[in-house]
Amino acid sequence: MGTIEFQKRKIAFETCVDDTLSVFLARQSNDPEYLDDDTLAETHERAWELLDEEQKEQIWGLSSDLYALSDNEKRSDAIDQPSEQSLTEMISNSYEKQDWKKLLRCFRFQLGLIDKETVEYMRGRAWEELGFPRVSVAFYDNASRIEPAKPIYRYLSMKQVQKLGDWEELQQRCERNAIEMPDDATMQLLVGELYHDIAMHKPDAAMNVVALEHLDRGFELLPHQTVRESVLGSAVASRVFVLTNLQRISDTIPFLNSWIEKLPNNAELRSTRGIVYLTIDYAQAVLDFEVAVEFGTALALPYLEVAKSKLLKRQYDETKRLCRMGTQLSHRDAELAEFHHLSGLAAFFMQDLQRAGHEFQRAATLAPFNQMIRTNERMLREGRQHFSLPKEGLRSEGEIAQLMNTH
Amino acid sequence: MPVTYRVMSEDDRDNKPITGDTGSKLGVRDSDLTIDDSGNAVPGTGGTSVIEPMPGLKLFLQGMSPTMVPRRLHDNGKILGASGSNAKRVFRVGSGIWVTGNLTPDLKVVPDTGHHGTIQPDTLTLMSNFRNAIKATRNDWADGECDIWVRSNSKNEKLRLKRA
Repeated sequence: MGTIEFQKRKIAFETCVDDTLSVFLARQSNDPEYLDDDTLAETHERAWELLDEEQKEQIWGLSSDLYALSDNEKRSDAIDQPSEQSLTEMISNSYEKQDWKKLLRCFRFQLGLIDKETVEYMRGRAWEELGFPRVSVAFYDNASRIEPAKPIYRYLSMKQVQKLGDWEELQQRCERNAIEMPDDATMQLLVGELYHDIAMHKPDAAMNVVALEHLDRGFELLPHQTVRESVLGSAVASRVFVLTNLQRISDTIPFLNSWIEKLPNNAELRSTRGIVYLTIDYAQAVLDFEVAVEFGTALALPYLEVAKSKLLKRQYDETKRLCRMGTQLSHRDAELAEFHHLSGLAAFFMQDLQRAGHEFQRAATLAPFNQMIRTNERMLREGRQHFSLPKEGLRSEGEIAQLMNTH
Repeated sequence: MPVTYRVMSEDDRDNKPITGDTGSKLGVRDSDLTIDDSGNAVPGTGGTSVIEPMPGLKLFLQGMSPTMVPRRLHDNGKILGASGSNAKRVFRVGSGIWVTGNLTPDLKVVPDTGHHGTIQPDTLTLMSNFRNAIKATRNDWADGECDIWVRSNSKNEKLRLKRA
């Protein structure tokens, strides 16, 4: 199958998934005949015709699973119905191997073998992993409907709504969940973190104040509750960025220091302090980034800054290794270009001209207006060797604000 | 006369399909087949989509999108996942077997790929005449949702309608 055909089929599948879900959501909100409109139905039918058999089966499965939203799910009457024992094994194996499609199929053979709440959670997880956040929200919400007292499903739903970039919906969920769970530290921290994200995207400065209120409330509740370290790391980082947005930069370092004392191995805290230090103390920023890299931070920026310092110290193998790791984490073209550029320079100094040329070209394609990259790429082509090297040093507040946006 | 099925919007007044040139009514769209320069519907190039009878009626309906199959078929356990409007119904026409054959003197059913087929003009005819001929079959369509097709025990495994 050609690339265009593949893309067409992919888009058609996304359309069919979306329509299938919309039919159920519309019914819940009293629009029972959604898709009954001839024009909509014909668009849907055209998309359907492009699907392969496996995709069609997936859509039928989804449609069947979505009946769980109205407690009207029915067990599959397939002839090859597995026994209870083999079904349990199949579910466990597919989960272990992260075979999400198979896991979804397995759940259709059981009704009652596994509790409903877990099934709905796993369905949400499977569709999240398959890259369909809107569907996963429906199943996480359903798990939350079945077990309203458990905050975990609400967190998961909100995270998916955040992924969808639906800021209005996210704000409504934040308001509702914060009111309904005022004494849950994780909920308050997460809501604070999400309000910070809303403030970045709407943009609405007042949201930073609301974010800070919830984060502070969450931290107040902490001594009496257990909160996962990953949640804490993100909440601390969010509070730091909120303080920065509110022009309270001097409060950030003491706050970070106190948390790094409590969680010395937390990569996110080190990355965050590194980012803050980028405006005031570059050497300290690199030290924090080195620790963040050592503890496997999920941010690309620490890799970039450490790679840069290694290049200037002529540690070329290390530079290349860090660039390789950084490119796997980065999603921004400008940042990816910097990684390829650094990697190209390291390759050049190691006399690997072919590699250097390849990396420079990649960098120039990703950042066509980056003057330094363009100049270096041209010089290599012309056989000249007086490259411009990236400078280490402090960043402006504008640059930092951008980094925080992508945090 | 070959037997075939189609999911269409139902007219509440007489429980027959609603006529119209859309994918969910009894009719034919311009895009469903080739129309020549003189405005004729060309046989052998497509037509109104229909589906083959199969054991249980289930598999071929699953060749359609679940949003096109009435949701009462999920509710009564016949087709899990069917989520379409209950204003639609699975209609049956004909009573023979699934082979190429005339539905009326002007129309023929032609199986193509999988469990799909089309109702086509029997000969080259004006598109408007073809449309009218299809719509004229309205009273021949009956509720096919309770049909159960089983294989007979004979060697050639012909399908027979057990209950309608």
